[in-house]
Amino acid sequence: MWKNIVISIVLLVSLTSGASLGVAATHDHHAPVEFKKPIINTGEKSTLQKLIDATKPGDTLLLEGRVYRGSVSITKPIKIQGVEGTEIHSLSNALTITDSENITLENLVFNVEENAIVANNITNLTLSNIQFLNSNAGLLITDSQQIKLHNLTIEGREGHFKTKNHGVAIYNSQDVTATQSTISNVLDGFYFERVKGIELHENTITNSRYATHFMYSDNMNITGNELTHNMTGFMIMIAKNLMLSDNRIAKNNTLNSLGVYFYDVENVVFQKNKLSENTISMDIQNTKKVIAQHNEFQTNGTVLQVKHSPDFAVTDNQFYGNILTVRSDKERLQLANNFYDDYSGHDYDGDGIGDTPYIATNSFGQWMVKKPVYQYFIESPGVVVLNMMDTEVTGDHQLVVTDETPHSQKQPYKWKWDIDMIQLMMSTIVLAGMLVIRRKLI
Amino acid sequence: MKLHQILIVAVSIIFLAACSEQTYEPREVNQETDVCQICNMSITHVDYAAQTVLKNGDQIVFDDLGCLIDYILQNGEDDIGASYIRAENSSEWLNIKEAVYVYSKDYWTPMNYGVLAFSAQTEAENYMNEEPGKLLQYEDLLTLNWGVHEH
Repeated sequence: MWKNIVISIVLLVSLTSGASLGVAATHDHHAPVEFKKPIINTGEKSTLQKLIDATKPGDTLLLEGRVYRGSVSITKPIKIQGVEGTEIHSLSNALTITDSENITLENLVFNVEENAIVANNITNLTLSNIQFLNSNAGLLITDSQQIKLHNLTIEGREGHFKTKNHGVAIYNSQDVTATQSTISNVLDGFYFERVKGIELHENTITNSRYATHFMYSDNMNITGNELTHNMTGFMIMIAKNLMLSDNRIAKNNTLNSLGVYFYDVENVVFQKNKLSENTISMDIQNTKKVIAQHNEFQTNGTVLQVKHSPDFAVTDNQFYGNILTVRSDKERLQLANNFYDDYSGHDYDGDGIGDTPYIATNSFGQWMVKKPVYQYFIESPGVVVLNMMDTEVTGDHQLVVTDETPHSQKQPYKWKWDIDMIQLMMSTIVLAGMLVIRRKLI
Repeated sequence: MKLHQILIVAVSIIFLAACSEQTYEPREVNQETDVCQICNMSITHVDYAAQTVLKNGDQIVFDDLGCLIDYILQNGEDDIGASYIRAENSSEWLNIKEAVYVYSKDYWTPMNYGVLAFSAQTEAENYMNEEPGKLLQYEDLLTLNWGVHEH
């Protein structure tokens, strides 16, 4: 028995050595250069392209949980569905979709050097549960309609935005819906140019140049998005018919940062949004028919910076802990029925409206915005006197903006009950455990 | 005699300083920090950038030629030393009064104004052979319907 085992081991070792020697002998005929896998374009289709070609229009292609490499194209109505572990890697655009309709992609992970998906002239394109990791850009769509994007995750590379491209870029298209997507470290999270009909709900965009950037676009409904730590949250230029509500725009406070920027927009309702810790909360230029109502502005540098927008109406909002409420040009804006935490007037008739106007502009605040170090003097005697002098200035002054009907009391806070059941159960178990231990110890 | 000499030197210096022509040179755009004076967009597409050098030495940058023209129309030319636009086919800064322009609504620029600049008319015409457009001079820019302010 032992003899046989020893013979087997000796044979195995000799065979392995022989093989090694054989390889060594082969290499001896060549110069000892480092081995590199050559990139040879054989013209042969990739595995994924063969699978796509074999899928009939209207059918579903189910991919395995493995990595598919190379660039592929789709020109017919199919659904591609991945499972956990399905990844597509490419050194150029991974997926090119052209001149087709009814295309659905689900559960895929892209790791691509350029745009992961490029689509042109598509009707009814649905992308859901797709991750774009470590890409220079995510998605580029042109001349298409009925685009639905759900639960996309786009993570760009670290570095300054000048070296990056957009997360989702859509041009000359209509009826775009994007929901519950997470985008970070790109140039602009969503860049839409000449797009009609935009629904953008519950997306989270961080660490980018502009979280959202819309130009020459029309009919937008934008709700429940969270835009934080970007250069600018909403960058909306040359657009019409917008509804923005229940968004959180916070901590956009780097160099040149703005929470919201409207340039040459018309017919906008901006309501129930929360804006906090932005360098400038809202910058409004050349606008018509813009209303900001029921928003919360909290701990921003400047809340409203307004140019050439005399009918910009700001009503029923709440202002807390901001450095400066308004900076505007001679055309000013309309303030009414807002609550300001620094309002020092009284309400002797008890109607809830202050008896004296609130003066929204503040000389020292204007200086502090230009030179932030001045904040160290904010309660110094000289500044207090200056602020008192400001309140004596009449509203007729060219650059003074007043709210003639300021709320004297803040609006009641609406509690929202949101119970995390897992956390509640864990806490209960820990508490019960502590009680048991206590009883055993005593 | 000594005072006389000092006076001559002082007058000569003043005279020479008055005669020297002040130049207004363009500067490089910093993609990380520069934003357009008019539309507030950060200038990531340097190839379409424009700038104005004021007579007091201040330099103002713009992301698109249309924004520069908007600035000129708003503020006048009295305080402007020189204005520049990047050439379409090179990285050269062209004086806006010497450049030749081509317009088409299909040309892409950062603000979609669709006006591109060339150093010579032949270059502009060569470009238009590939991408059809309309030839413009500087004076035309001041009255062009830039479109962006209309709803």
